[in-house]
Amino acid sequence: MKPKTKSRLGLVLRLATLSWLLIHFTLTVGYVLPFNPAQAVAQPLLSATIGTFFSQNWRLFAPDPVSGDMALLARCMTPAEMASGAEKKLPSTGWHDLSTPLWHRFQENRFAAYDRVARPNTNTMRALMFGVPELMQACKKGSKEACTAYDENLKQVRTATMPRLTKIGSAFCKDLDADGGRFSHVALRLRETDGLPWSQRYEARPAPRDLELGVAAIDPDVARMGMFQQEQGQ
Amino acid sequence: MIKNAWSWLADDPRHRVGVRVLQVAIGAMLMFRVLTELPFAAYLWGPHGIGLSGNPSYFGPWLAGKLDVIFHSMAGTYAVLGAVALAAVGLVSGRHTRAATVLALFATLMLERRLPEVLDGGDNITRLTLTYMLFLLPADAKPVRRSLGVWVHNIAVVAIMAQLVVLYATSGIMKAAGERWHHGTALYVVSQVEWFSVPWVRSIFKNPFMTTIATYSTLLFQLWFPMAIFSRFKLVWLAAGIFFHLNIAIVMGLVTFSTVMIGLELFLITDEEFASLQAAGRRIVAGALERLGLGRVAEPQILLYIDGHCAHCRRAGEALRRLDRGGQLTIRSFRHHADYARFGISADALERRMHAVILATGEVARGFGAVQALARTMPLLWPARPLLWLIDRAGLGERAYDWLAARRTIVPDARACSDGACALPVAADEAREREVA
Repeated sequence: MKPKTKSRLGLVLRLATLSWLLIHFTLTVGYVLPFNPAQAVAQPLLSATIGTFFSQNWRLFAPDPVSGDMALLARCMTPAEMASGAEKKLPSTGWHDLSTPLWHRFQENRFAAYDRVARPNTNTMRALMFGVPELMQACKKGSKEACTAYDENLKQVRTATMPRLTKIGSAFCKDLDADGGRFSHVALRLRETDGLPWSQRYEARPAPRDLELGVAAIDPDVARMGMFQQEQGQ
Repeated sequence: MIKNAWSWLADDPRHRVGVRVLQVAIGAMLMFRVLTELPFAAYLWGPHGIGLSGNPSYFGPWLAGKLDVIFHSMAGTYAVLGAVALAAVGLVSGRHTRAATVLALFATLMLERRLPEVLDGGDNITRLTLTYMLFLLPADAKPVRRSLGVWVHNIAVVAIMAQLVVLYATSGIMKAAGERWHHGTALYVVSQVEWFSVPWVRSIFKNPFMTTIATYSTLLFQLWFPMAIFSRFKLVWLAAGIFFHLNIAIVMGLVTFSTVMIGLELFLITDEEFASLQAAGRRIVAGALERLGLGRVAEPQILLYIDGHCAHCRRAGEALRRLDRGGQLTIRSFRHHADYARFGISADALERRMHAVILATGEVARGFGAVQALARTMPLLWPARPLLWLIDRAGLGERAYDWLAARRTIVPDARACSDGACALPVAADEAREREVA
């Protein structure tokens, strides 16, 4: 290649990379900013570019940080219990908390995977309850488009998340029943404990609220985690 | 200004030290993930795990379906984790960094696709940074000035910086819109959450001053970050950022996120700033050593003979030279210096064992004895002395040394000594001899 051609090609490539940099970060800023009218218009482009290949979320405890605990509870059910109609009136005893013991262990040892194995429980439940928080915020502020998108997303999320929670519950029941086959179903419950506002900081935390998520047949193939039994002191 | 910016991008590769620090931070974070999550691989990602592969983005639906096959067996699942570990080793060691970056990005994307719910902000910024890092020069590259490779490297450097600015600016703006951040109680609120706190911190954040100061300083740090890093307060801001992320690691437990963020903050330090920080650090260490009576001595205390034809021995010599902060050591290859005879040492003996001559007494220590003499003389090796004593008492020292020495590879090749590895001890030795003279 002639030196002049090479030099021109080099210049074109340099200008192309510089242009990419500018366009890429313009789109990135458009993607990460709070929901706004321009973002609503440019949504298809932002989703196809940054949303697909450079998806990111830097809310990081904003605008308002997470203020309470959300734990997953499971009750493993035997075929006899199911036959006696326990599905319709769930037993009040025998429930196990699948989240809190992992957080407590994680507080004792930061260099372990307790957080990682607890994350699927909590993140799935948060998605189940809130969908996309940005859309929820925008909807609360009166954006009709955001409300429509939020409702649509929440429906999809709820359909998609229950199978995962069932797998988590099934893994727990398998952990609890070393021989296998004792349990046929798992009942799942979401336990939410609110934090106290600043003005009540020296008072006792309020009683938790429970939300029944349903009863599902145990997935017989699901892999055991191997930690639940130990954490529950069984 | 445009000319200066163009020249900054075009002339020389920037942030080479910062790039290495970032590679080490990301490599360490990935290795930590593999080591801690490996026991739960079957549960999290395995063929019957809780991962549902519900996220087709990035690879697209067709390719995503094909790639999913990897997770249909435990061997495939472990292979993906093995790839992450291999990439982590490459990034930390600085060997084949470009290949390691490709591998790390691909393998982490596979895991992310399989179970996105397991991830945190640290994994998000790691994925983005690894994407930009694909265009950085390899750690050992010697690029031609003003080449296209240099330009692309610098564009990637700017992209990583811009991504960090986007992260902080977005987080700061979002926080500024939050009621609890406005009212100075946000960190009290987070401190009550089991997932992101430790019990001992709850009482601290019930103090009105602590919670207000901590909340507002977090907000101010993030909002001002994009401006501060281009001002004379840059290093102060980066130091604050490192302190901030150390606290996040300990209190909130976000160890991997904090590791990558500290790596990114150190990445922003230019090579020139690293050089002046290193010089300042050396001055401080030298001053401290001098005050402790461990400062640089006028004459070397030990003359160490190593085998210059053995790559391991040369590397060990190089490591010892770096640890020799007080100048107590002279290292010489007996293959290139025949002056050992004046201490009554034979070439045969040197071929079998490393020899250390204690210059003050003329005493000669051999093999494991030489290792012990080095540990006695060099302060940075003092922590190893109890272990060496135990090995000696167990009667294993000489045996272990001889076993290792007998298995070393000897390459009597002139090039082995012309690649810098062998030349260094000789050069250092000659320089020291001149100093002594």
